[in-house]
Amino acid sequence: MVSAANAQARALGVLPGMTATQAKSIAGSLQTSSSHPGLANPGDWSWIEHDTQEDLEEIYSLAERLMQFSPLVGVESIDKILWAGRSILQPQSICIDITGLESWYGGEMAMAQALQRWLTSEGRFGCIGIADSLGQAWAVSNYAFRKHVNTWMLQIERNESSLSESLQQNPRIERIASGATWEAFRNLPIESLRLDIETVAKLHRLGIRSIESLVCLPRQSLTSRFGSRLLERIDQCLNAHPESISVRNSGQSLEVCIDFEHPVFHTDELHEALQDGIQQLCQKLDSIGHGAWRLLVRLGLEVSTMQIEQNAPRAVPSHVIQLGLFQTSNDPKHLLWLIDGCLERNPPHLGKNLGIKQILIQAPWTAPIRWKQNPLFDCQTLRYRDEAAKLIDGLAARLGRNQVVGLSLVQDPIPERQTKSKPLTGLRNDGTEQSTKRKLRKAPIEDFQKNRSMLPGTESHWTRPLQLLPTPIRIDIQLDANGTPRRGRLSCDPNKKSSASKEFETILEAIGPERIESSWWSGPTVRRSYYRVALDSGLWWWIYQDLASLQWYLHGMFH
Amino acid sequence: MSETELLSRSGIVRELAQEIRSLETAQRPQGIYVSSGSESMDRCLPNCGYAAGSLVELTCERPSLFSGWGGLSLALRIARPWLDDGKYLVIVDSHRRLCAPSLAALKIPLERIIVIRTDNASDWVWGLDQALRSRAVGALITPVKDLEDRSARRLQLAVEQGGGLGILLRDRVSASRYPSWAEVQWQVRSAASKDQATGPRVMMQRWFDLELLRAPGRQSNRRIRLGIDSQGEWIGCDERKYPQSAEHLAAQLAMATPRRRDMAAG
Repeated sequence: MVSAANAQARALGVLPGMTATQAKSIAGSLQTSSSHPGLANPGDWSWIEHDTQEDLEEIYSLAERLMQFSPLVGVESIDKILWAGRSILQPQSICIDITGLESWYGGEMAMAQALQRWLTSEGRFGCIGIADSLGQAWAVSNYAFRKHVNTWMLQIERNESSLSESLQQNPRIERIASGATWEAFRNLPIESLRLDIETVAKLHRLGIRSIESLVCLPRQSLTSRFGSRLLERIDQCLNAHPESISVRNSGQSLEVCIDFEHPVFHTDELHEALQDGIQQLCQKLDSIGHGAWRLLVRLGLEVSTMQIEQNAPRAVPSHVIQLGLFQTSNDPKHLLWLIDGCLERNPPHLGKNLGIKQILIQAPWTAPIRWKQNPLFDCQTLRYRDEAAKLIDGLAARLGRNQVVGLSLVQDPIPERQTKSKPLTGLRNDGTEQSTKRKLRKAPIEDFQKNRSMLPGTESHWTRPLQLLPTPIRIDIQLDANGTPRRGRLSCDPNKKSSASKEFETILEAIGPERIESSWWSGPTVRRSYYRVALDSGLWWWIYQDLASLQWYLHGMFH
Repeated sequence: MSETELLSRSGIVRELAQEIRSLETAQRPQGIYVSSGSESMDRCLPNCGYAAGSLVELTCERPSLFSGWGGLSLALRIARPWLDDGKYLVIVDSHRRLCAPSLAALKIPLERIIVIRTDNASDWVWGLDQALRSRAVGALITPVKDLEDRSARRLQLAVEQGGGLGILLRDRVSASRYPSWAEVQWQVRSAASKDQATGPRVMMQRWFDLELLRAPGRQSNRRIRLGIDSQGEWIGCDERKYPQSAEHLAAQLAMATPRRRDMAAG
């Protein structure tokens, strides 16, 4: 399934929600046909595997940062079945309870505008809906602008307008007045009720496409025809039935809040306060035998009175530090060290005009500290795990979560897809909660020798190179009478950024061809003939001929 | 100056160099040497192995990123024994090029590999420092482009504290431009394999010419030919030359002036 497509792909007809086979047929026809106006070259398109973990991390991270607007922020709860109008089974909306908070901003619209400005400053394109219930707000935020969102996003992608310009032209805020009846939603499609694909298809067959048509149907017959879920969804949206937000900051999360009488302007004072706060949090965690999986530190910033005299806004967005840990920890020294690493990388820029008024330290996710039992047999994997966890947490805090990764094998014939790298910290397996119990029950991973994969390349070291080029480089190859490569050179030396003037190198040995072809269900067809070649200079290359274009590429080095 | 005076002076210098060396390596875990697994390589090394808490440099002649000179394979093979007791291997792979099947074929446990990607030099040095300082890290492998003196010393101190092995892959130009704090320095050249293996074994084993540029108390310019087979095991050995001796870096610094004079004299 296509999860997302950029402007170019959408212009060519590849759309989100389309099956890979459909997209493949479009891409395949482009590849074989002459160059399409949307593409510089027929081979200028590529498929990127959707990273669900990365998506989840992003939306949860955004939700945590949005807690500066309201303490009750949650990610939408998804059903087990995909909703109509969605291409992936993952949460994509953030729900915020703003009850009683709007007066701080001068009204609901003003608050929504402040929120929209903040999203733009974060580089996000958002649509906001305000209504009495979660179902109503969800419907208007997701579907009120649906027809135009693609156009606006295309303009931004094509650099025809910037995010802020787009926001000025279209604020993308829809407010439903309190106590509104179903007529306020009459023009919305039935997909806005969060219905599954099957129900929506049935309704479409009956010619019911909008909420207006749906409410005309006799309510009594709906349950027998479409199940009880439809009525429930109608009530949630049209009758404003209450629905709970699974908030990030629930009563279960442990937190420590430090309020300062006067703002703190110096890093040393901040460090001392953080030390106290972390100590208190760790004592709380220790008392229940838990450790933090995830840590959130919010520094409430405030502009000094000098600035206020100059009519500058007093409240500024808070500085948020988010940490995902490799394993649970309630060691104050370790946690403080991680926070220091984050502050070093991304300091709050305190000064005489900007100080910290409040520090909030939360542990949104905790789990029992992993108890240790002396193993009956020596278990190599766990021996240095604690030490390694501290190292990984520290590296990820300073370098970034995506910069510290582990490697795993993927069963796929295409070489570049056989290596999966995933961040070692802050992983979640689904959109609702960290499956700590399952992790605790999970047996330690056995060493490789006991569990060898049958992937090509894992049996012999010299059948696959140690390094693959992210983008294969074109090479010129001269073949002998049998079609085996005999001489080769880089078409263009990427080190020198100039066209090839280098002479051909003799290939002493060429082992191949090893034919590799992708599965029909995994995107566009890839057919290659690989050779391992040893050059007379002693270097070994892994080269292939693309069987569609017959062009030769250098794909990896036996480094 | 009489010959006796010269001898006593050189003796004093040697003693001082020895003292500097013992001071310099005082932080390092004493008496721990891990065999590389290859007899011929071990014979070139002090105490027949790489010292715990030391840096090793593998240098190549070609600076090109696309040359495939084999340094990473050698480094991984040298690092493998350091993971035997459950320690972790850290690899710096900023260009996202590592291929997991090949690492697995070298019998490197994937669950104990930590890959670091850095965007700038300060993060890179900081990351290396932290990784080398950790007791959980058995070995670290990183390509090196530019490593100034102070950073190199920082890494040396970090690896001494951690007790692991740091393997730096660098080209010869970079190695000659900046001073090195590595205990052992090899120059690696990928050998043409045609004369070593024929028939069905072609390209199932790879050969390297290694020249020892530095090792404390060992002869430099010592050359060996080593191979790695398809199972990631060492194969064969062929020692070639035993020219002049080498000293530890501290000793070299202690005798820097006479060395330079010697070199200037030709």
